[in-house]
Amino acid sequence: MDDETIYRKNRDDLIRYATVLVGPGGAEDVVSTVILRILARRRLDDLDEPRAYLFRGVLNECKTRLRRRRTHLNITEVGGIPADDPRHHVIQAVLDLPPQQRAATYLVYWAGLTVAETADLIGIRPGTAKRYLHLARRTLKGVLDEY
Amino acid sequence: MNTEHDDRDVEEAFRRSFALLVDRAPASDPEWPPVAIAQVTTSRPTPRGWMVAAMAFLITLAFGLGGLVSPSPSPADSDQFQVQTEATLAVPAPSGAFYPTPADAAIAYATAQKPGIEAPHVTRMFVIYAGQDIVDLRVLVEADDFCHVYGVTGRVEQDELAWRGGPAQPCDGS
Repeated sequence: MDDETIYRKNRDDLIRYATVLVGPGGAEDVVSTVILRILARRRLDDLDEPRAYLFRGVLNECKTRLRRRRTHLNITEVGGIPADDPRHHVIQAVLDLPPQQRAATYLVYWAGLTVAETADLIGIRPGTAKRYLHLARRTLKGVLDEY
Repeated sequence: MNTEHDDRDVEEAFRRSFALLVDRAPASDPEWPPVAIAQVTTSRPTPRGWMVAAMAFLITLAFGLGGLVSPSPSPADSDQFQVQTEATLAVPAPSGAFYPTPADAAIAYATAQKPGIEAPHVTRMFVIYAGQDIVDLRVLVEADDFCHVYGVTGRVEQDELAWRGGPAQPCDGS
């Protein structure tokens, strides 16, 4: 599979993944940065697991950007949810999760991957992925109970 | 309280939240196919030059604004393009600095141009020129009531591409 095919096959998934991690405004920029960084060193079709490599790259780039801004992603950057909407608190709680936990919950609960597949895409052990899921569920349960 | 039921509630809350977030992801535009641009150099390209050209191709691929990319210049136009690129470089960036990504450079320039602009973000990029150790992009920066296309130039500095912003024009070209 050539570079263009790999890119086209994964682009939309990567954009959605980056949107969940840094918001819609920065998603395309994150993906382009990751592609550039990889291609500065090697070709995509030289990679053993290009999809996993790209997903890990996107998560790392998002973590770097979130560290740099020093504030959590705010729901107002996502838009479309009135402050009095009960979903407001829940979605903000999801955005407040550490990026690794958000990535794990997104891949399992939205993308429908198994814990093992999720661990592979994030570049962690399955046990660590399970721990991220447990911590994220606990956090969101607290918010659901409160509101 | 039933723990299993609680877990399902939580998982459903995750799904609803991600549905909303994913719904706001930038959409692919099938009307903008990827465009490969010709590499234009006035001298034999170095491996580093090839690397830059390959990166430029992928930027174009990633953000393919096919209809907006200028026709690839012929080798006879190379000198002219080099001059234009150098002219872009001569425009001082807001802080006189290079930035790590084209988006950083364009947003810094937009912010300097319009202080107080809120949440500017890059929506598209496309390649105008890819030469030896230099890439010339156009970067679309948008915010509320703001949409400008910036010239952003990347050049190799200490083996890394560094980027700086250049002049802008409004998105409607006026």
